[in-house]
Amino acid sequence: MTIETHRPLPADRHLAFWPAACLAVRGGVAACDRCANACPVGVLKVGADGTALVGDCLHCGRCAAACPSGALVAKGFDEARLPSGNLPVAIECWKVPREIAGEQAVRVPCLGGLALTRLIEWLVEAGSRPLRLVDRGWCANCAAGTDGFAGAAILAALSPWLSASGLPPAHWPKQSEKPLPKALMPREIPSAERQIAMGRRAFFGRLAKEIARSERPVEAPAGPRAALRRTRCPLPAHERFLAALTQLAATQGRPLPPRALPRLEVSPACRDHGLCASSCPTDALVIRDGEKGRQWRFSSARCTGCGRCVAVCPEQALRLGEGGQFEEVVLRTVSLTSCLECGRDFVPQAAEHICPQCLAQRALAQSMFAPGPNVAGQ
Amino acid sequence: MAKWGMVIDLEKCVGCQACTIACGMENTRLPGEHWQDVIFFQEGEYPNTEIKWFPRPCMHCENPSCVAVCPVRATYKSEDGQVLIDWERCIGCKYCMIACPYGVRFYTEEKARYGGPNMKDVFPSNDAHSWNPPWRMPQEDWKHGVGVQPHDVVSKCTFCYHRVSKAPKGTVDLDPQNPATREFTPACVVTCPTGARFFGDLANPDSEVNKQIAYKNGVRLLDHLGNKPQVYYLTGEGGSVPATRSIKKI
Ligand code: SF4
Ligand code: SF4
Ligand code: SF4
Repeated sequence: MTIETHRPLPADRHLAFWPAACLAVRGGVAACDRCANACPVGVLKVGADGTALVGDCLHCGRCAAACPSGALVAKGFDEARLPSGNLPVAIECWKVPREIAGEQAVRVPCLGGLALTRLIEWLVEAGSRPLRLVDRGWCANCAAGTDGFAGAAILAALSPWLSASGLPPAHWPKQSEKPLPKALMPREIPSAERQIAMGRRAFFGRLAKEIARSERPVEAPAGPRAALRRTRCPLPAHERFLAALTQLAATQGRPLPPRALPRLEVSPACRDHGLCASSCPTDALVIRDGEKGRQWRFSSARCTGCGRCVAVCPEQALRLGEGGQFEEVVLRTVSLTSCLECGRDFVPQAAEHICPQCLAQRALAQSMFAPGPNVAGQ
Repeated sequence: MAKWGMVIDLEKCVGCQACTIACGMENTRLPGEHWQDVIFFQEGEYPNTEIKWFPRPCMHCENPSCVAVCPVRATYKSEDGQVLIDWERCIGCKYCMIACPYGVRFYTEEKARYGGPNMKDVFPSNDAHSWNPPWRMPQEDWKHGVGVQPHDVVSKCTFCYHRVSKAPKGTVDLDPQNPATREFTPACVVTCPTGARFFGDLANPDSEVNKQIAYKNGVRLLDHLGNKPQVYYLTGEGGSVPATRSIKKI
């Protein structure tokens, strides 16, 4: 468990991966497989050791945009900078030649790979300048494309957040149609080296860094997976999302929209198995024993809303909604009793003195020695 | 491919717990967390009470509920019919512990189930192991859940995978009395002083285990649940140990 941060995937250096932050590594594929689902060509697979490429990557970045924790990062999106000045900002895909897009355009590998966070950050930065996602009419013919415009999905996903932040619709980013002849479209998304504009110094500095990094490829976490649970889950993307949204809402004089903070409720059906907390991949829900007894503590700001806790609860005692608090809240407090038989601490449901395990053991024994036909008649 | 199974003859079992201790030594178990327990059970009202007991290893179910619930497939059924835990995969969620109807699984970080000092504090570990026992079994094989249990994972009886898996292919009976198979036989079977335990291939109709099950009407625990354990109990006539059964018959 020694991987501190992102490393390029061995198969394709456009993608960088951080195993300790991956929810699938921490909680199993059932906890998260959003990157694999987002891949338009199905070449990304999620396993217990994290993500791996099994075919040729298109570099559209959809997987990284879908990653809730920030374990997966695609090149080209964070490097793009807004131009200065006060002209409207056009966001273009790398396939559109620089001459056509214009020097002022913000260029990203694919508009479908823009993350919500990225757009919100740009909105804040752009201030009153309008943001335009430029539709060149190519998406339907592109391998990474969808039926319509690739940026439409992100605009649709963005709108509830914008209305929750109180941003007037006039300032929302919009799609702007400027069709180009299909014959101009390159077949592949150009490689990052040619696209990311940077000075010579920056270029060489970066090259050295990347060479140093690539000597240590992504390793599968060594030792027991469970050791990850002793480390706090890094959530760079989630933290960045909340920060960007807070800033955006602040421009309208509002607090962080309640729907950004999940809220978890425990019903009295809870039988204290603790499965929920031990299945939570981000440690948003933890169970701690203290002086007051055993406490279920929930940090809304660390919850990515994956719903794992709700899914695993054998009693269906949990409900996930919205409108939580930023600070950690105590959801449930119970006092513990020591089992008369085994001495282990447990949560008594009624005024019991024997823990559920010991009771189950008794039932098992009883089933074993229940009077059989030979004894019953005597 | 064998289908290893165990037969425990309750008419021969005297409740000495030699199996529990042998298992503990073989698998470096903590006191109070033995993979193999002898469960004692008191029945009736004073003065007509009697004590009964039965040894309980993991049943290595044919249809294991623990395997079905594991979110990371850390618990799995091996080719030879053992149910094993891959300690490198297990995330310690304890779902399997709730799912297992026989209660045979242990989580490391729980308070030990006996009155003595916590051995994890007495022999603290400074690596991934949950404790640093004063003795070690020779093998350490985390893929099969063999060795000193690491932190934050669940463990259970492996049917002595490290011994049984070394038996030559095609072996039918692992009989401790036979010098050729003794070293491949599970520790509890080797140790049992009354010879109450048998181990062999359930898939082979000629195996000793199948003969015992057939002659003495072997039963499986909680059979109505459909887990189909691969551990069979021979209960004799009254479903109990002979001494107490004869008292009943008077
Ligand atoms: S989306 Fe991110 S957290 Fe989820 S499986 Fe993929 S890399 Fe892991
Ligand atoms: S006895 Fe329990 S742990 Fe063993 S195989 Fe059956 S369900 Fe799984
Ligand atoms: S505790 Fe380990 S073996 Fe059991 S269900 Fe969870 S991950 Fe699987």
